[in-house]
Amino acid sequence: MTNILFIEQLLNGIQFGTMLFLMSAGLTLIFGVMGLINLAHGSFYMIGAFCAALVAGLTGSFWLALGASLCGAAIAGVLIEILIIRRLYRRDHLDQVLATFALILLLSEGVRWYFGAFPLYLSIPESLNGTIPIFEEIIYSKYRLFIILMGFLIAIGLYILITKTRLGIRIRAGQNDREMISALGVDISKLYTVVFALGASLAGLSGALIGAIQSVEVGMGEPILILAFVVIVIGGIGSIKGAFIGSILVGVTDTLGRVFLPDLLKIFIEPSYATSIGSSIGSMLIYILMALILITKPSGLFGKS
Amino acid sequence: MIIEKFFNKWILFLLIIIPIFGLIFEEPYYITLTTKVIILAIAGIGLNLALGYCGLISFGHAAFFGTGGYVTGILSFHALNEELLFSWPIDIFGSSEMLIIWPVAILVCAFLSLIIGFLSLRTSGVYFIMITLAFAQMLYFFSISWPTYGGEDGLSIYVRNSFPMVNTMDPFTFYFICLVWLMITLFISFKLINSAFGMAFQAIKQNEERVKSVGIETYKVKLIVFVISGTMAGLAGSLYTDLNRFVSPSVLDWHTSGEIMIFVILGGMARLYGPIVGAAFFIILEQTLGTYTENWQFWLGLILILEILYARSGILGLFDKKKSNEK
Amino acid sequence: MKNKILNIKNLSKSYGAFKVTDQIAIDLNFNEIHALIGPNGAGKSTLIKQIVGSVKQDRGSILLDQEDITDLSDVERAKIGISRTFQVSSIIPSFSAIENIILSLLNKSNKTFQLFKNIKDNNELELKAKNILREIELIENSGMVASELSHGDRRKLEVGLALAMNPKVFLFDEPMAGLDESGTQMMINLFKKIKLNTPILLIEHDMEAVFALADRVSVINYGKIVATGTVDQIRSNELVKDVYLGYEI
Repeated sequence: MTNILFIEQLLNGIQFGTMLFLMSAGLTLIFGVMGLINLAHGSFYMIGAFCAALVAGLTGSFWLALGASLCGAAIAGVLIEILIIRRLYRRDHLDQVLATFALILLLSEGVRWYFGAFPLYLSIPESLNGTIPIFEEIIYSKYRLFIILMGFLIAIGLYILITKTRLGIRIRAGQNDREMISALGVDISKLYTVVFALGASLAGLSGALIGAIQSVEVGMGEPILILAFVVIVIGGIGSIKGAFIGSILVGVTDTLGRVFLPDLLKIFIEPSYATSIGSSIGSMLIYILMALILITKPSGLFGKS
Repeated sequence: MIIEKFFNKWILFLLIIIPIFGLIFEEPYYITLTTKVIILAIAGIGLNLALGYCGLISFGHAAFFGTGGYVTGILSFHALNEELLFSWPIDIFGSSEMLIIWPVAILVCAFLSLIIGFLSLRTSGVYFIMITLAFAQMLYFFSISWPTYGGEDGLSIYVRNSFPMVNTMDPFTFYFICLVWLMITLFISFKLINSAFGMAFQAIKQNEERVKSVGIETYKVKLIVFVISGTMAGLAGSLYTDLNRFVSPSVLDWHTSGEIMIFVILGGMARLYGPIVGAAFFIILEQTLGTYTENWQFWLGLILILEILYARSGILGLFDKKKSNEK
Repeated sequence: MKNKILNIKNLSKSYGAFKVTDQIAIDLNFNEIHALIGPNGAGKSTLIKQIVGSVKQDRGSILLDQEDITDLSDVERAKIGISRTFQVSSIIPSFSAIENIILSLLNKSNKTFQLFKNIKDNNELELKAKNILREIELIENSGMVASELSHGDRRKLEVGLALAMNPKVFLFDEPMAGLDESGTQMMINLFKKIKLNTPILLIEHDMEAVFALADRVSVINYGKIVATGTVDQIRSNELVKDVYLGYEI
């Protein structure tokens, strides 16, 4: 285990974490403001990636594709919120879980129907292709650095939105007391639609960004969704700060764990066992982390109990 | 209520008559299909206790279903390949006897649900949903990355496990074994619901604060229900492996958790026969729509959404005018 | 003093800088009804929550029959003999009235973890439940589903649930709220009977009831106990009159 490898993997972990943040920020906002648990959030990730792939295929422009992912996911978000989600706000969590689970089936099979079962491809644009040296010795993928940058920019953007704009004030007030803000004349249903669409578009963007390094296929959002849940449970539901810290924590733990745990175990156990046990435990590591945090703080690091 | 009881009797009747039909006309397909419904119903009956009656929204029951399945697969695998399972501290062999596999699967799943329940029940609401989901996913990823038992490709067992004096490979025989288990779990479920303990856990679903204030330790009650529920799901998983002679990580996936939930909800929550109706409906949809289109789950999703928005009490609920317990 | 069934000292709870209960000292003798009155927002609810155990105090101690229960959880306190009613009726909606009572009987009869015997076969519990329903004059509607009971009947059921626990002490939180003349009178008669066996800490706004029942009255305002005494003492207490802004009480 060299320092270079470690820093590389650390950066990978941070990159993973920033994408997780895009997913979890939306999820936790939607829960914090509307009290809605949305299992179909991963579908927006998928929709964003598919929109991007479609537009990239048609126009050849990566940047237009990114824009398309934001728009496409946002539009999908608005439509779904109006047609289905808004009937769920008053329902209990079980109904929300089931309805949004059903929504996943609907959306996944719908996309599969339209696009077929084969994955689409989205390529990294020329300008971001290749590597770039950082910290003298380390050569890192330009595109991954770009992702990290985007992630941080969006985090800052969200921070500014939430703390310094009117919309942000309404969102924060809504998190605290829904009835009050409607009594104060804020158009609740519009606010909810906006928040939902915002969450959806963030998810869509991360889908498109990752779609360029992995493939764009049906169901791609689900593993990320589960991780996003782990993140917001760790960070505390409703807390964007918690989502950010949780995402980086989860991203780094997962990446470093998978890469280095087998090697670490090789010190103690026979190498062939160490590899398989190491990678198995590595894949379970963040869940173990989550369990540990929940035992000590049942409402997450920054959540309200 | 009377109509519901009538309907329930009809369901059981069908569960018996269809395989007999299959036996007489030599169409094992119907026997196997009914067996599948029965096994999934057992998992649903387990979940219904925790979810339908006690209000514990566990999105991770696949953890127990899948563990039961894997315990069975692993024990068979070792027996068929004549390899030791462990050799320390004592030699432990595999087994291909159902009478040994079932107790092992039950004990392992009871223990697993005890641990997961112990940790998860410290939380509530959304946290509980997510933590149960996450634990199941943890096991899912573990099973994919553990190469010894097939990893992602799964584990095949070529010969179904044996039961004394019968040929379990015969579809009707195996169906009958599963039917007996269904009767047992229905019976246990019935007894629990009508007991004092049943009163406690059903009350918890509606007003936990009140139950605590009359001096009932709700955490303990919930934990016991959760363990019983998980154990039943685990038993179903074990039978499922024997049905298919195959087990793979997909039995641990959250989609499986979601599907078990669907049986419970579609059939009617907190109704004894609900999971059977739900499982039957699900399998029928899969078999009929599934022949027309690969994307049949699209329609399942649609039906489910419509049901949640407009027909909340499930299929059995349609027959019941007294809906005071449902929304 | 050995006479006290409930002895609360120095009970304090603050949320931030806001002192909701401030060094509250209050006690309950055997065979007495001790009424607690005070304006809304005075801290009564939080005081109850601290006694019952759903809110943890910052400081202070609670002794039940000489035993320190300050660190016990809400369920433990319920088991050990503190029984309460809720200000807003808290019942099990789909259970019938008698089933609600039976639920409350489970703990004392050690039947909570009976997993297999059919509860409907238990004649002993049914009999006990019926007796309680007779006490609270709800026997006619014993089979009615609780969510369909009238408001007044629900208040009665609340008290019935508390009675079923056979506790060491009762905490009644505005039990008369929303009751009509005959309902209030029934409660008054019932409480007079109850107190012969079990003391009651009564939080009430209905002054008529307080005067008819209370052996002692304490007045709480801004988180503090401002006066304690007999009904007559409290009625003539200037401080108390101030508390109620000059209303004749």
